[in-house]
Amino acid sequence: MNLRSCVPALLLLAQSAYALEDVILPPQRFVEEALGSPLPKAQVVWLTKDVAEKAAQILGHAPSQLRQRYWSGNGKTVWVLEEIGKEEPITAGFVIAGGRILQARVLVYRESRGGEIRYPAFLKQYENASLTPDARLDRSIDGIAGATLSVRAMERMARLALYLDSIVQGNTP
Amino acid sequence: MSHLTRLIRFVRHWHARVGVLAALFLILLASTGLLLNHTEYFRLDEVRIRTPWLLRWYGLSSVMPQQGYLTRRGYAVSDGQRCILNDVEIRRCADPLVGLVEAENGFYLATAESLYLFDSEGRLLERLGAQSLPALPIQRIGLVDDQVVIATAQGMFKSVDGITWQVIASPSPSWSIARPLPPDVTDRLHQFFTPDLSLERIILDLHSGRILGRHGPFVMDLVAVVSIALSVSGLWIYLRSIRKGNPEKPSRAP
Repeated sequence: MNLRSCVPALLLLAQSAYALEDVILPPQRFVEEALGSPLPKAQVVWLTKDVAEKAAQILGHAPSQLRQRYWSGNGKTVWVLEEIGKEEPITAGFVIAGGRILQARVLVYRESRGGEIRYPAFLKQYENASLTPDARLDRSIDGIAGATLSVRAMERMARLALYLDSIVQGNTP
Repeated sequence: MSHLTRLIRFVRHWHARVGVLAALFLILLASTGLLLNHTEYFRLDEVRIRTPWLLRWYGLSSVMPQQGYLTRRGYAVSDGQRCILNDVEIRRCADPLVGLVEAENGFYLATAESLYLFDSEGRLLERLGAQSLPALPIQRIGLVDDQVVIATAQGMFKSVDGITWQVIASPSPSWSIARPLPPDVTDRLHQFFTPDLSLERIILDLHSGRILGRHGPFVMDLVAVVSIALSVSGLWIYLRSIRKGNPEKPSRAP
C-alpha cells in the first residue's frame, strides 16, 4: 500500500476517531432522574437579541441556536447544553433551583482528551454555585491539568444554564 | 602521502559536498519542525489546502452526492460525513439524511437520530435528539396540514413547533423523498464536497518524509544518519585544527 492509497483511509480513521462519543448518561435519563418519569412537557426559552448578546458574552461566541429547550418541575429547571471544548461538543446537564446549581453532570464527552471533567470530584465544585451580577460564577472552579479547554467549556455552560434559568424565572442578573 | 593525510583529505572533500546536500534537508526539517512546534499559534490545522495536483498526489478525489431532498425554496444533501442545507454546512450532522420538509415557519431536516429545526431564513432554531423527540430512529419525515410528521418504529407523530408531539393514526402526509439534484445545486456543492487537506498534515508529511510515499521516512532516516556522520566528521576536522593551533581557520591538508 502506498501513500496515495492509504491517506484517504487514514483521514477517515482520523475523522472517526474525532467522532467517538462517550455517552456517560443519556440526556433523557438525566432529565428523568432530575424530574421523574414521564418527562414533563418541555419548554423553550427564545434567545432574543438581548438574551443572545448576553449568551454570546458568556460563551465567547454567538449561540449556535435560536432557542433553548428546558424542563421544569418541583421548583427546578433542567438544562441540557452543548459547548465545544477543543474541537468537539461536550454535552452537559444542569439542574437548577433557586438560582443555584443543584447538580452538574457531563452527559456525552467527545473530545480525545480532557475527559476527567466527568468525575464527581470535579463536578462537585459546581454544586450551589450561582451567578454574580456580571454573569460569572460566584466561586472559582479548580482546573484539571490537561483538561483546561474542557474545564472552561463546562464553566461556560454552567454560567449559561444559570443565566437562562434567571431569564425563565424573571430574575435577570 | 601518508594514510592519515589521505584520510583527512577524503573526509574534508566529502564533508563539504555531502554537507551542502544535507543542508537543504536540514533547512526543510528545521523549518517544518519550527512550524509544527507552533501548530496552534499558526492555526495550521485550520488552513485547508485544495490544490488539485496535491489532492491527486494524496489520492483524494471528490465524491459528489447525486441525490438530495428538494423543497419549494431549499435543498439538503449529505454524503454521510457532512450535511448541507441551502448552501450552508450544518454543524455536527454526520448521519445520512432521512428527509427535508418546508413548513410555513421554516425547514425541518431529519437524520435517523436528530431533527433539525431552521427558521425560514435558514437559521438553526434547535437540534432535537432523544430527549426531545417522541421516538427514534426517524424513518421518514413529511408534512400534513403544514405540520411536520415523523415516522418511527413506534408510530407516527406530528408537531406544529417541534416542542409538543401528537400521535397520529391515519395520516396521509406528503413524505420527503430523495431526488436527483438539479445542475445548479450540484455546481454549488463543489465547495463543500471537494476534499481538502490541512496544512498541518502536509507539513507533518514533509517533516517525516511521508509525502514521498512509503519509502519517504527512509529518506529522512538517511538524512539523519548523514547528519550524524557530518557532525562527527566536522568535530574531527575542528579538533584537528585546534591541535594545530588555529581554531579559526582549519589547516589545509599537506
